[in-house]
Amino acid sequence: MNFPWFRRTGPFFIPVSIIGWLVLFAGIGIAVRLFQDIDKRSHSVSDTLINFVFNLLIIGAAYSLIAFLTSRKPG
Amino acid sequence: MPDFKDMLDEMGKPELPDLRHKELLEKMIVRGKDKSILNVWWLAIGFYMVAAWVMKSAYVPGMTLRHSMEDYSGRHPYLAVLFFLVIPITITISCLFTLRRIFRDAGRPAWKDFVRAMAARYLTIGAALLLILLYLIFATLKSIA
Repeated sequence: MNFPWFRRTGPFFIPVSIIGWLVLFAGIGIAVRLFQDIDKRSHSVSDTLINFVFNLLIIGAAYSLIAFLTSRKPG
Repeated sequence: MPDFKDMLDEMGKPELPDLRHKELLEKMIVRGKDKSILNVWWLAIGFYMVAAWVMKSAYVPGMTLRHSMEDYSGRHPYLAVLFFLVIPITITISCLFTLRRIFRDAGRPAWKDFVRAMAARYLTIGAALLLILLYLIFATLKSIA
């Protein structure tokens, strides 16, 4: 595999390859799907946001783990 | 013999323009910074939950942080252990190993300078220990009650 897929900018990992962008869009897609699902079941805006942010943090943590492991420069 | 001495003086000491050791240390510190960001993301999950429970105890009458934590631990025992024990312990061990390695490879610098340079790492360890402590306090209270 050709690494790196990401490079770190501040607290975020920015994709630098096509696979990196695919991972980012997959993460965004999952977040949007989760938001719709949580919004359907929640009773208020704060209920939606509290539950969504928790899931967003988990997605962010998983994304940063993938990015960290694939941002190693060869050599 | 004098010729040989002059020759030696001319040669001088062998010099390396780039130290391999310096390059490795630089790489290790940059890698360490990347790992710090990763640790912050994973610790943020636990802290977000604690912050949400603190807000809940402030705005919902009769609710306390202890009740919320016990309720969550009861409903999701494995997730509670993961977010409040497994992840913080892993992060603490990883940070300690990295600090030890950097300290050794940097040629054992003065403690004060080292702590200042690696402040983010020490703060991460502190935050991880705080999460572990919170969980252990509430787990102990639950077992006593």
